[in-house]
Amino acid sequence: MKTSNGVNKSTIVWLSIIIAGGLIGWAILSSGGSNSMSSQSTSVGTNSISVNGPTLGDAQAPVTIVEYGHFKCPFCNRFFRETEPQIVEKYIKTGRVKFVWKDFPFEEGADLQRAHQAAYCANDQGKFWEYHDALFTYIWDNYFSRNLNGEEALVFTDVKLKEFSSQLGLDTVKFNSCLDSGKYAQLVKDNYNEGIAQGVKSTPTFFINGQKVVGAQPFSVFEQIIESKLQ
Amino acid sequence: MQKYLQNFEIAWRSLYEEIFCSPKYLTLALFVAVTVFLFSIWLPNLGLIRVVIFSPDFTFLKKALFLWDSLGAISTNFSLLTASFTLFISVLFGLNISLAVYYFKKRITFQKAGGISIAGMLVGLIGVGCASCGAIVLSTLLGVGAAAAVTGILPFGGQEFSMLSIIILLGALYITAKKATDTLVCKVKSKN
Repeated sequence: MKTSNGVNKSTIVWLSIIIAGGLIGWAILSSGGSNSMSSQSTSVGTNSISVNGPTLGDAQAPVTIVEYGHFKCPFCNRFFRETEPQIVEKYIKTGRVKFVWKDFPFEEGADLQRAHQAAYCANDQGKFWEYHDALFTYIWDNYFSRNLNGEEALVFTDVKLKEFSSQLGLDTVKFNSCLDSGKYAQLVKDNYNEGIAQGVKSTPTFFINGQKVVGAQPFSVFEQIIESKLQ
Repeated sequence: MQKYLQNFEIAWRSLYEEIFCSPKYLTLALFVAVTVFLFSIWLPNLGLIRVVIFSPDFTFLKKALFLWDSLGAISTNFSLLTASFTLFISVLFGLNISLAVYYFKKRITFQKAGGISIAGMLVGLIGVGCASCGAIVLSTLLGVGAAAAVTGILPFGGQEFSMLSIIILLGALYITAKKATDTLVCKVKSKN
């Protein structure tokens, strides 16, 4: 069947399909994140991601996962509860992967900034990860699991942050002094700015040996990327 | 009210007869809907998808497996609400485009509805995609801080864009589908 100008009508339909497919292909080809899968470098673009944040696992591990996250982000929380334990079990405990935390508190709310600073105060006493886990667990138990909006609520008051330090057996005098002084306010800001420079737009965002992975992806996605880096 | 119900019935019948009963247009609608849905899931990680597709470290089977596994993000990286919105918008994209092609082939002018469709799709692009802690398209357009501020003041955290898109796409679909029943004749103007 032909139109008045001689163009086969089914051609138009197929042409539309090809154009749609072409646009998707073009989007894939022109999008960012150009690092080679086989690269072992942690540099991305023109900037380097420093890997000197709180680290879980063997410092000599061949694969480094850097997470940009924040403690009130529900998807960071989902990653923490569902995917991170599997990565820890399969790769971190076996010395093949190390996991580095970077702050990216882009949401409004002073309590979020304070929570990130408090985690570094706990780090001074060698308990960053315990504190990190306590923050994520608290907001899950009291907000997200009850379908309450923990992102906008005042969740991490100074009183609560100091309470966590006590529960974890930290020296509370040192911890309180650290938190009250705002000792790590600049470090949290620096991490955020570094994330912006690396093209981080949402949380959680990961860099696996430099390869950007956005969002709380399933464990199988992390597994395949890690395995390709270990080859 | 009666008139609106009648118009709605006309639009639905037209959509049913022209799209759902035509294997060709139904296939096109499904193809576009699936493409938009996949694109929405992969949107934040297009760079990663590209790297995997062109990586010599991945066999063809591993590439296919990676793409399949990455679709699991619909359950890990979307809330039930945002996943539903994404699915609904994808279906509406498919129906709008299929109907637009039908119009193009029938050579029926549909500027008004076509304009509304395009507007709906553009708004949908802002809301759709990665729903993890902020709309990724909005972040790209406005920057992370501004996007967080905008979504922060909105009562549904940016999902308003998805809702708006659904309303506009439904409106466009209604107008175009209703128009499909208009006969291609010149109407006699009433003298009164």
